[in-house]
Amino acid sequence: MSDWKFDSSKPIFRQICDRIKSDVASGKYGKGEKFPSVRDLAVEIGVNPNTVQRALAELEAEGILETKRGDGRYLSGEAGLATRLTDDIANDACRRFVASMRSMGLSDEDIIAVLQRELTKQ
Amino acid sequence: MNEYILETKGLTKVYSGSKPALDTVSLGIEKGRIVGLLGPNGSGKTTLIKLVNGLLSPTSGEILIDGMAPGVETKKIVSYLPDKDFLASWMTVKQALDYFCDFFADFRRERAEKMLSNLGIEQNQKIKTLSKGNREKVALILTMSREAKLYLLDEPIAGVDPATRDYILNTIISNYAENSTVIISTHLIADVEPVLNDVIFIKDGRIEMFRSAEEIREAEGKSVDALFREVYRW
Repeated sequence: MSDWKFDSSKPIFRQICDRIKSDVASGKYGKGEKFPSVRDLAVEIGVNPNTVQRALAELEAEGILETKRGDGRYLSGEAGLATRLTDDIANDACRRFVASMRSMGLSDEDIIAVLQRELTKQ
Repeated sequence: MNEYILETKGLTKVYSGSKPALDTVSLGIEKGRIVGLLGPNGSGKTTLIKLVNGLLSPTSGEILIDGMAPGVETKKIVSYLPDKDFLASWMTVKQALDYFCDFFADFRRERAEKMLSNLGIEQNQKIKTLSKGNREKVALILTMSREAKLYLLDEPIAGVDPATRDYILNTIISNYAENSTVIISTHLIADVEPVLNDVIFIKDGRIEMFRSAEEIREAEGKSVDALFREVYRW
């Protein structure tokens, strides 16, 4: 089908939302670009159209997509959208990282040290 | 308007005085859904599908398809893919198309022809000369080229290779008419689960569970496949 892979132990609509957000953040879609229809996207990624519909409605509620009446969905023209999403995704990943380090009893200094080691490695 | 495209009330089928193949099954399936009818071999999947199709009569209980009992009128709105080869092997692909045109007013021939030519299947080929994978694809294309209200697909992906399976699932998603419902019976859960809205677990002729697939993932934190393995552990 395509390069979409899902963890079927988690809600699929949420995974679709996350994937589209990261695609927008990385500039895969241009500002104000027309979005594929629900059915086309469902076929491309191999999931139920209702699930895609739910994901797109969610993205619309978050201001990432907009509906033009009778003409389908478009990526929002919001200035700085990609930056906003990049920040959101980075903050999320950071929150999870810090929480998991703290749960192992690492101090803030330890966490920074771990991060620095990793950064210099790459 | 009927809320349900398919409703059964206390549906029971006993074949020969033995254990019932279906035991007081009561279900309401909504319009616009893709529903997985999931259960191991011998659990009652095919019996249920044949009852809905009017190929078997219930021992007791009731079946309503868009508010009607199975009969001539319901055959006009139900598109059925049997679990065995149903196209006569002596027919050519063109004759099979003619046959569907004659029988079903809602058959969209151009749509079927387009899908066949995309696959490189020639209309003058005989059904018996097609590979197993292509025979399954032709049968599915014919079934999905009807603008039906209810599609009943009995084991559409059993015994096909992964590429054919993807083709079949894609064909289902891209062709079922809006607001119509697709029921897919299978025991290969992991392969179909991203495509399903709702899942019905059937076990020993009884409905064990009827839930939304996303709700299972959300509430249980596990896949439909994993939950299935728990329900059917022996």
